[in-house]
Amino acid sequence: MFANPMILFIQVMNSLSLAMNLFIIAAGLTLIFGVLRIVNFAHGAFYMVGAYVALSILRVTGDSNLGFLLGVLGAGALMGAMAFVVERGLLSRLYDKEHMLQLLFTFALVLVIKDLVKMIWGSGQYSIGAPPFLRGAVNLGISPYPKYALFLCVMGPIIAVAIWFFMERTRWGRILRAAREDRVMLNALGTDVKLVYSGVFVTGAALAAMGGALAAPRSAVDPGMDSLVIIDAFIIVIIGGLGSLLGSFVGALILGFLTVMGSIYLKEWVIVASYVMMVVILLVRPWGLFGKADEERH
Amino acid sequence: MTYRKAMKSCALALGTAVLATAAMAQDGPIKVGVILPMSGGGAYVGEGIYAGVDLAVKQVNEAGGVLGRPLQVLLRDEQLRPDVSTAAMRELITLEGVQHFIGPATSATSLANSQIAREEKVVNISPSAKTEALTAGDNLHDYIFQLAPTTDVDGVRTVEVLRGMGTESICFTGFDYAYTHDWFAAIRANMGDITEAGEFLVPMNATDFSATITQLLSSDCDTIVGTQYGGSFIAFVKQATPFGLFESKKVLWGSNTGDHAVAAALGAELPGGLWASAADVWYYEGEDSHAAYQQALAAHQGRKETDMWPITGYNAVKFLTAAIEAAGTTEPTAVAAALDGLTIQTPLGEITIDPETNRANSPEFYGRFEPQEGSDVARMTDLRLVR
Repeated sequence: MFANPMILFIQVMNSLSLAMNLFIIAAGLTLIFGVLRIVNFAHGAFYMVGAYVALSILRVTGDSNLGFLLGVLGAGALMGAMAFVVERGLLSRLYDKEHMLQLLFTFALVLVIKDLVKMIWGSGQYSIGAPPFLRGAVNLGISPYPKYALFLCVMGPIIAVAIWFFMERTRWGRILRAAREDRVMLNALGTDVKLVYSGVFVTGAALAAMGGALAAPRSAVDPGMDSLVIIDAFIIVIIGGLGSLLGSFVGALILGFLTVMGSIYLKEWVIVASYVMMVVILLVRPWGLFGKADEERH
Repeated sequence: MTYRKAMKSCALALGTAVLATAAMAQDGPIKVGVILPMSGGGAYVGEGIYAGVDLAVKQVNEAGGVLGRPLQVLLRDEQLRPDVSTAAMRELITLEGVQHFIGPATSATSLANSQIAREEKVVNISPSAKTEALTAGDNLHDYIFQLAPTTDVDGVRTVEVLRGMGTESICFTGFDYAYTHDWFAAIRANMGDITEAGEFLVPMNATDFSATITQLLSSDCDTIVGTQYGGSFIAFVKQATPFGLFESKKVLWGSNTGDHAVAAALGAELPGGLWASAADVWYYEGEDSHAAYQQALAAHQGRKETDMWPITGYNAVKFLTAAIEAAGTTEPTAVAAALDGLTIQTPLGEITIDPETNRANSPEFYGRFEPQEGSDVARMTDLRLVR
């Protein structure tokens, strides 16, 4: 492969495209953990709902660029609204409870959402096409490359920069960071922490749903799509560091390259490579590559 | 009442209850355990097979049942997991007294459940598992029966199709699991002067195929033979199309990708010219029995364009009921003996279970997908029913 620059280039692009697709999904997971300190097992289910909602919107609007845009935004909006109801009505009652209860709650949410999806959309498989302007390939000089995969390569950094800007350069971002560090103090200072938590959960869920809608043109929309992606998302946030946006970005890049290049060089061993890498990183830095150790937090 | 009298009364009541229960079991419905994936990514397969089971059971019961007794289906979700599948089978045997089983759906779960059928001496008809291992060597026993064409049979049939396509060299790709290895081995054993240009496997349940697609494009083969199935096949097509893979190579796909459900899911995205196989296609017009079956299935499911999986469950029930009739009893050992060498009339003609291998000679469709005028859903053309 290294002897052929064109193939090397395509495989690097493939790695980047997969990595950015994964980052978009993992970003919401790390955001929710970073502020709420909840490991959200339902994140994959939110991703699945996003793909199904986009499918329904596209059935109404027809196959068009605008329809696809509405599908992605609609998936985020609807999932966000659902997440608000879930967070205010149920999850918020568990913030002061032990972690096991929170884990069980998000796991129960997975089961409920899966059954709801089956009731609404059935158990069949569906497909969403790429929007017309992103179909086919574009010539990048060295080789043609699929436009939609390239689009994902661009969307990942855009979303990363947008979240970073929001977190680091806006007043709301400062409040979120404060909530992450000491929510009792923040509450005492007069900030509505409940609203902050709701906003974070809604944003994380919306990101997952938009990730599902954006991933759909490269995959099938079916009732099993959540269980495949949630494993990758957890690997990314664990190796990157729970709650670290930069960590998730780097973790997604590592997993993307490992998956694509590993399938060429590691063959059947690629299936364990990501887990081995996660174990090694956790042994050396239990808090992940860009996470903070507990003693660093205080 | 003395203590002794009370004990006698209790014993009498217990004995009466046991006898009454036994009598009811003889006269009551014949329980059939149906274990299929009914949730997650495999649900479309399980629901399809179950639709065929349900239709056949309805027909049998409307015709007076078997040995004068109705069939009663007890359905369990195997979740594509051998541990869940075997637990469901044990539960049905222990708590429900089930002695006849249809399912599970996949090779992995079927292999696991077959061992329980051997231990518990209950009849197990596998409607859809294709792996040779299910009925080969030490795994073959008196109570397991395999209806789907096995990979060695598929290998011979596939090479015939490849020769018709004018294939000179092959690249193999697919999930790294038993079906892939067995089918590819069977093709290699039969392909004669057709050469192999490479094998590019991906881990089970992988969702990104971009690296493999690039390898296939740069390989020196004129035909690609693949095995990703269901949603993974859909993902492969969507990722490979922008690379122009289907314009630059001929493609033949296993794993029942000729199923109408796959074509319907992909719609206009399904590349024309792709060769595939299927257990059934609703638009086949070859035999009256098939037309009658499709009409009944369409009425049962409320749609004319049905999928391929129902016929596998339908035939499984037909084999089971024919064997019970032939045995004149529901006793599993007698029913299993009756299944050996049994021939039944199915929607696709006569099918026989080989008494030596416990495998049925089920036919399969092969064809080439082409777009249809006035429809977004492609159909297989040049359709051939291979026996």
